[in-house]
Amino acid sequence: MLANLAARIQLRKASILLVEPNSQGMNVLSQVLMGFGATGFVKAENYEEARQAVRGDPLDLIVCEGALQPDEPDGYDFVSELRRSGLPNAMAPVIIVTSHTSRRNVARARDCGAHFVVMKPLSPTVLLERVLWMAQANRPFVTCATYAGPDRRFQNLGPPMGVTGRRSTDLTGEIGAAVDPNMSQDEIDNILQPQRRA
Amino acid sequence: MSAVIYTRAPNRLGKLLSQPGGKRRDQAIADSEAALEKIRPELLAEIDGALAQLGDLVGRAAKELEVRPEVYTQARTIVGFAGLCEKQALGTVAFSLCDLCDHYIEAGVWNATAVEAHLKTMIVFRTAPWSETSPEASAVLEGLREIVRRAEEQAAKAAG
Repeated sequence: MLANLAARIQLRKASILLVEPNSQGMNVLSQVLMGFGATGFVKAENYEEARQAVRGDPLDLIVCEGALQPDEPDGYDFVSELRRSGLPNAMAPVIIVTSHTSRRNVARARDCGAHFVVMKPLSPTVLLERVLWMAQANRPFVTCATYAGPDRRFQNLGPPMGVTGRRSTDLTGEIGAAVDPNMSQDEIDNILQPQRRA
Repeated sequence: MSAVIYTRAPNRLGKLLSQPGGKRRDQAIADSEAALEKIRPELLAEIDGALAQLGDLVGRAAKELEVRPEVYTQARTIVGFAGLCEKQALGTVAFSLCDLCDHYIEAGVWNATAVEAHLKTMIVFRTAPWSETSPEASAVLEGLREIVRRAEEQAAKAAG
């Protein structure tokens, strides 16, 4: 799958929810994603429409503007509620798009359970990279008292030296002796990118 | 310690993306950029609409507190579209206005001179054919920063 994703993308059958209050903003989102080959859109202009949309058919991707209508919950609130909703779409991949990437907005996007924040003006290259990244990484979901969403840790560095980890998957800092010789680059390439032989 | 639950969701997006057919990545990006190019006149009209609204709002915002979030909203609209219309410098000023409004609204203050200077600069950048890195654009941006700095200083003195 990874080798194929590096070259081609197939979004024709994807069901994508776009949440954007500004009509031209919605136009931009649609045009960019249609350029990627997507055809199946569900569009929501406000919080309430977005809430209704996630109760429908399964969604493969949600692209949501952080700031919705004034005086109502915003995109960050919507994602936060979605993550704890228990709905089949609760773990759908979410990208927050926002014009004003203040430290506070970025922190809110991280803490509401979005996978990524993409800054406006929207760059097709950046958006596609993030979509592919989400698909390839498929981060596990974490649910605890203070957070529900994809694992926010991008690096698995393990617990600090001398500290016992809390997770069963934590490794110790001790490095054992190698039991096999290092693989050559050709051997590595053959594992990651199988080639058809004539 | 509170309970932490790890769940691995089915990777529907990954499966879809890797289906046979579809587009080459470079072609997908080129098609998206071409589509954005086609709607550029509409985006410029949206920017002009937001600038016109700001022209009305900025004057009122000094006295009417409820207007201030609307100034922020219109500035945010400009940020979202300016870069798509090759008006990066306009986007930079609009982003600065967003920051300023966000800070003022949070702190319960308002500096009309600084906000007005942003609006006037945005109007200049909307029509001027300069790139963001041109000497002219740099000089205008530097002038804006200086006006804002002085306006902030005066406000601090008046308050202090």
